[in-house]
Amino acid sequence: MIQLEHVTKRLKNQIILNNISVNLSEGKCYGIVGYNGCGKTMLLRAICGFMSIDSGEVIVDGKRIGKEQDFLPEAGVIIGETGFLNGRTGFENLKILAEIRNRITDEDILKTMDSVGILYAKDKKVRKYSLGMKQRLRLAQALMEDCGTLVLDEPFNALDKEGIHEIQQCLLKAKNKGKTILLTSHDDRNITLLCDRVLEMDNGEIVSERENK
Amino acid sequence: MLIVNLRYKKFIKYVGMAIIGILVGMLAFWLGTIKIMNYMEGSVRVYNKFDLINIIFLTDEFSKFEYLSRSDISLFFLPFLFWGAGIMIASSEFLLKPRSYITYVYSRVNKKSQAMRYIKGDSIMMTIVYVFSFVLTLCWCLDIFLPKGFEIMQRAQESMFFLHMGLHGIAAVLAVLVIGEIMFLFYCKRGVSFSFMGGIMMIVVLFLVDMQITGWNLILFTPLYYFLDSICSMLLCYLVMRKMNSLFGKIELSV
Repeated sequence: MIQLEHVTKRLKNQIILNNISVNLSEGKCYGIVGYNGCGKTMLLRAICGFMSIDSGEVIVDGKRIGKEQDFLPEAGVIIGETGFLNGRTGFENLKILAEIRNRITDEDILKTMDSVGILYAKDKKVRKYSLGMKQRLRLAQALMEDCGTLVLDEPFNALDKEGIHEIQQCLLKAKNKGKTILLTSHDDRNITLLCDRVLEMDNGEIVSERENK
Repeated sequence: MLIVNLRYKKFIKYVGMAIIGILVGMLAFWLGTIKIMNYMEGSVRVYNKFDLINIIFLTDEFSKFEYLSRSDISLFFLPFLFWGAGIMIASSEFLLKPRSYITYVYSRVNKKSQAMRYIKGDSIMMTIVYVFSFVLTLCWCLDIFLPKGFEIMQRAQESMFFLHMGLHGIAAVLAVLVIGEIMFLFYCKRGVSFSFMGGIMMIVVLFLVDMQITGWNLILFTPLYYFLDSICSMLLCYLVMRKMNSLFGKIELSV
């Protein structure tokens, strides 16, 4: 269970997140929607513990993020820029990251690369990847360790039709496994297909929360 | 499987650092020899290993040696080669990682300090391997390829030479680590290019400061107190910088 209690963040006197309180239940998929700059990414960063908040609390399983725990535990995350090691291959990049938790094998990495449709480019240097290929690689790094929570900021960006379909299937599989998924997307079709609940943001606030029909 | 791979990769990395140390050491010896031979031709004094080392690392006893002149900027090339390569090695682990890479690391650790350690990599061991490969290469080259006309040192003098080289090596490791920590702070706050420029500036500043102060050595080759002054100053600076980095060296992703 992820609880946000009166979370507020200001940047240069501008309110980015305004007194947000919401409970996110385990095993559900949440879609966060809203226009550009309304605070979706900032909300995800606050939940992950990637930025400090001015007031309020993010509580995950009883532990306060930024105090008792620096980051959201057991999470696969895609937020912000691509940021891979360009001189390494896609596989090497994933392997280096996998070495931090050190709990999956090379076969697991390759299987994940296959599921996001990037296996054919595993030995190619990341600097030679197209934008869509980099996006698939980011998804692979978030999915490969089979974490309980997935925080995905615009996971369908830069993907072609086929890519969108493949990633939708991956996320549906993850959802059926009982993972908690937080997802932002500008395409309503993805939200409709994947999400159980939809949070609509405007000007740093959650203005509505509804069941997805 | 992953652990075995990790150890193998680390070993390969250290071998790489040793090779860089050996190559830079050989280059420094070769260029230093060419430089000092020019002075030897017109000099009545007999030169020894210490004179060549004075050229390679630079000393602040300018008045004592005729081959040192404050107006000769080319004298700074060899020490800058050693220190420049040193700080590149100490900072290579984090300079090669884009700042946005930190999100992938943050999502895999529990504490920010763990993430910072991971981003920094094993710069201490890499610096030690580089500096001592450089120093040992110099000692070896001076033994095997001692230029004609150089004085053969007595056993006691030879032991003193090795002692000085070893202690200067320890001081150099600490100095490189201090500059590396400063570069890491710049990297966290301002990014890669600022960190790189900061490192270069720090070497220049340390040279200038060390040349101005007498009776206390920082990074030059002046064995006034057997480099204990350099070792103590750099150790203190290193501990202070480590503390500062643990307090302020965090990459914020809020903007």
